[in-house]
Amino acid sequence: MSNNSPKRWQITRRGLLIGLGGAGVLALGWAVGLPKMRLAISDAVEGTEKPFSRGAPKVSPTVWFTINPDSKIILNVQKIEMGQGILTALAQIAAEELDITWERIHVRMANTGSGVDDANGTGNSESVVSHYLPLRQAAATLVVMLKTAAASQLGVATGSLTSTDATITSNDGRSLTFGEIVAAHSGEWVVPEDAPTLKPNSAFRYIGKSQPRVDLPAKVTGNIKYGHDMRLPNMLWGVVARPVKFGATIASVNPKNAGSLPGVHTVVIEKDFVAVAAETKSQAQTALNTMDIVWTEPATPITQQAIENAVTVIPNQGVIIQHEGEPETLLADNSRIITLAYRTPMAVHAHLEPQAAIVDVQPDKVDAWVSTQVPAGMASGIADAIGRKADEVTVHPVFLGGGFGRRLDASLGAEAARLSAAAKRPVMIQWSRAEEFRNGFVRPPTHHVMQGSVDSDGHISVLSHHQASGDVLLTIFPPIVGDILGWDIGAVRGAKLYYTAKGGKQTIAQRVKLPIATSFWRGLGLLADGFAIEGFIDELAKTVNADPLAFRLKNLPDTPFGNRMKGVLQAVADLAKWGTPLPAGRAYGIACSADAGTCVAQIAEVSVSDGTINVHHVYAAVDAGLVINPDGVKAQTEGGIMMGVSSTLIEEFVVVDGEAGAVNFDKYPLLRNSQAPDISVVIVGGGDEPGGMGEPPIGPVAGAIANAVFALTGQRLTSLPLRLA
Amino acid sequence: MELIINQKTYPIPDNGDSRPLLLVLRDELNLTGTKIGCGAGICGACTVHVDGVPTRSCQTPVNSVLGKEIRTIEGLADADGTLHPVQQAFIDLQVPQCGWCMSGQIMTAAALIDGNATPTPDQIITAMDKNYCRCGTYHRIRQAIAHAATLKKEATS
Repeated sequence: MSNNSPKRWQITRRGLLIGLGGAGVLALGWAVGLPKMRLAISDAVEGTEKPFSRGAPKVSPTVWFTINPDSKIILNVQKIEMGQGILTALAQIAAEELDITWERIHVRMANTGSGVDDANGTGNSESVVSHYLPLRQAAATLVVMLKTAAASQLGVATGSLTSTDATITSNDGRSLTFGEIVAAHSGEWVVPEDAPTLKPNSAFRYIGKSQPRVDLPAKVTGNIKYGHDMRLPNMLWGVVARPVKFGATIASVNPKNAGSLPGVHTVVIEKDFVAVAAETKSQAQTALNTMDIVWTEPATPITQQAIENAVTVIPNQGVIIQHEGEPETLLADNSRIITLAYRTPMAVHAHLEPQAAIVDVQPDKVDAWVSTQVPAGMASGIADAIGRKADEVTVHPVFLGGGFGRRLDASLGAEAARLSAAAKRPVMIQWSRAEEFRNGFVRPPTHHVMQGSVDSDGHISVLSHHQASGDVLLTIFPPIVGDILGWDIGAVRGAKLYYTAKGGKQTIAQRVKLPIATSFWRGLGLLADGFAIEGFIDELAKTVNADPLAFRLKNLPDTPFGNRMKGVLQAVADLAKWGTPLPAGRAYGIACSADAGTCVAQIAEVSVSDGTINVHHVYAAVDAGLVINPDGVKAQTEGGIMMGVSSTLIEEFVVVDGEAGAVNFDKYPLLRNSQAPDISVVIVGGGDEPGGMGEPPIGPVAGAIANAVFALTGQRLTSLPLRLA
Repeated sequence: MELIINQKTYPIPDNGDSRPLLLVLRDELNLTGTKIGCGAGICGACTVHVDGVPTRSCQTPVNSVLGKEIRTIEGLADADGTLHPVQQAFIDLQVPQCGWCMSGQIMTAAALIDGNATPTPDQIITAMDKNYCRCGTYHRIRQAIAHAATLKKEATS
């Protein structure tokens, strides 16, 4: 190794590897199936304003940072950049505590096995939330360790040293750069006993500032590599036989002459896996098309109607996940109870980069480049698929062309690994758009029965939300987990009622196992739950002729959380000038929601022309606590709103004849530029803790639009996508 | 057979077929800046310029563009690295999120302002209406193209 090679810190203290925060929350009590325990788990998981965090990352300056001789500092993170700006936000946090110039910090996605351990993957709006303090502590610890080494090298006391932009200076005027200190150091590094003091917020120069995204220059010149763009020398192209009908399995295969066709290298025929690897993609596809594959279709045909029937609220079914006061009594007795039922459809992620994987199975190791939000889980999945140990597999992170929850399952890498193991060469598998529609998973459909009443003084007296949904989170656990728990934490994201109901309130989760794969989709249940709750609150306001904003402000609790919600409602009202007359044919609707420690309120301005709903402008107020990058918060707000508008106005995935009703965007269009509203965002709040931003802004969108349509037309629309009568 | 891409000549095998230009760019020439989204000409991720005209490369048979000037995102900036005004504007307004659709968005926008120095808001929307962005950067795209027109005007005045 040359002297110019960057030096890595050596791990010297076990104490540094102790994770911070409360890990293992999800595991608590799962062996106990009593309803009361379920409610307790629900509170434990969702009772705080934080997402169900699965523990903070390990704090280790020796793993997270690499210092080059020129004092360029590399921050290694196992978070995946999929457009949310996470690399920039984490670089800001690190540069802040290291107290270095912006140009000096370089952030990169770390390989699995490199010591940067983050089994959680990237999602759940928790990357900044989970990294904020650990990363600052790691950076501050690194500075202390460098000071200690510098004191030794200069022969002075540590207290005489100051650190400024990667240079440590003694009060006698001598100085050493970080790079020089590392180059001159030998032996073990001295790690401080105590966690170092962190910079006061008042001294921040990067946190809270809109630093430009570090990944954008390469994204406007075509020079960034996504999973689909990766190529290896000697690489084969793989294709996999996949069913057209939902639930179909392979009955028999006659490969015919597929193996001897031009370019074909390997044909794999196993019970559950038929695939071809060839020199070009079209040669592989031609060979697969040549084969006679007979599929066994499910005994009971899967129909759209059967799915909707299954996802229907049934009284007295489900698990009570929120219960205050005596809602049952009031719901039974009160003749003024209003009931509305809401329905949301299945939807696809429509990440524009189809997923792709290259896996190179070698005798002593496995290298994989995979479009994934969960590199560590992918490494395990690949290892399991080919009977190797997880630590033999290195997943090299790649940029993602959209994530949205789609890139969480390991089957993508597992298939490429099986084919590579058979071919003994690297194999690339790229999904087609049709495969993405047919063979991925979808957002689960939901049905909601909302019930409630309002006293004559304008206070909500009782409120009930009974939700039926296909699975989200349970799909990644063994079946027994769902059977014991009885409800799906992901499906009920955003389902709990945050308004005060004087006589009582309840939320009931009714889990529905569906015959087609449903799972994560940006915000999980948040969009659907926000649509149902905020639409219904609007209806309650109408019964007492209350202004929708005033009604919300009146019925939110006088708690820190309630005050934050009121804060974003008031802020968005000010931004949109709620209450001032709009041009003829325009109307406003308002909605709010909370998720991942972040409160969001939105006002949508709509019109109707030729039976079509137009969304002209969406105003948003966001309280994400401590904001790292204000423009990043705005960008995530805009993105969540646009995805929500698309779901609200357009998107609906249906089953037709037992198969996907759409295999491309001709029959499943997305929001287009001419349909996309202008967006204005104001950031409010503050404090010492950041909230999540990837998902919360999608919560209020559908409700705000539907409420605006009601204000304009008097039609209370309760199904997505919204269709006027 | 030869293709002229970004003013360079690339020999490609004559397979006697009409395979899409997009596959030749990405899989044969390793010019992966041009992206695939739908393979059906709907999403616009694969947009390149053919003789200056924004063109869906996934729907363009490679043998229909022999001898024509093809420009991809890799060739949009000047040889000295100076970004096209649209590229600069997309950075200035921090437009891209995931970035996958951006090559197509930028090539479509570049053709617009190269042919129309002062596009109106309606002209911008019309030109950009067939390019999907799933991350939802649409209104930043509109603002950035207006900004790019200003940058271009400043650069030429």
